[in-house]
Amino acid sequence: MNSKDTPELSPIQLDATPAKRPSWYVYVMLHGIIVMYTLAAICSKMAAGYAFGSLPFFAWYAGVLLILFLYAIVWQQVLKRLTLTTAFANKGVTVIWGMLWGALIFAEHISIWMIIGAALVLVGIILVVSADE
Amino acid sequence: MSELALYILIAVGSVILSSISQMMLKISANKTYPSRVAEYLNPLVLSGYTIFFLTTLIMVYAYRVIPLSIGPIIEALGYVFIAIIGFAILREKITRKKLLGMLLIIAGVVMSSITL
Repeated sequence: MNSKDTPELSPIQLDATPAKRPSWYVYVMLHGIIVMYTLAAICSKMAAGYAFGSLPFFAWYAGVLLILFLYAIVWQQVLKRLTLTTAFANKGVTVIWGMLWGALIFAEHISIWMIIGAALVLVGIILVVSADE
Repeated sequence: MSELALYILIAVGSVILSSISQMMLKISANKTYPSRVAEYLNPLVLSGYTIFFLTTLIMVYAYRVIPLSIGPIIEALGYVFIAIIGFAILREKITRKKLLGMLLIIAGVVMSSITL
């Protein structure tokens, strides 16, 4: 793996390719925050199961807002260390986490069509974000 | 229209609004403001965050019917809407490669949605 002394890039250099390859822990941070982002969707789905204005609704919805707030902060830090392309291409894995959580937590049926559709979406995301390079 | 189709469209509407709010924040970030406070407390940023807040509520409403598994797939349409809004307002180019990616995302969302 790479050395751990990757210099911090100022926000001005956001769009520039980092001189050195980012350390492995930047990717751990990236995917950690992406997984956390998918937890907000779980909270949204949980909140949806309760009447609007009820206590459990507010509890789960507060979870959504809290996660999105933390996500926004950490995401900014990730963007300082990775190119926008890398960050947003990797963010595409949320479609896989969504299917995984849907099946595991809400017993949703995942059809082969959804898996093919998700694969098309993933390839599409990679093309869209890499077109900006 | 089936109830499911309606709620999928509601989720798509939420993604459109979310893309608009992100574009407002992006336009604001590229402007120069007289003070630090004005960077945050200006109509663009305030309405941008308000719209984003509303989209989280709309998404919860959509999840009353749509499965969690399709949520992030529909959210991927954000890449398409942001490219379209960027083209329309900021005159950002849509290359052939980007267009192909946008069409693949749309195809994937449609395929996942109509087979639910």
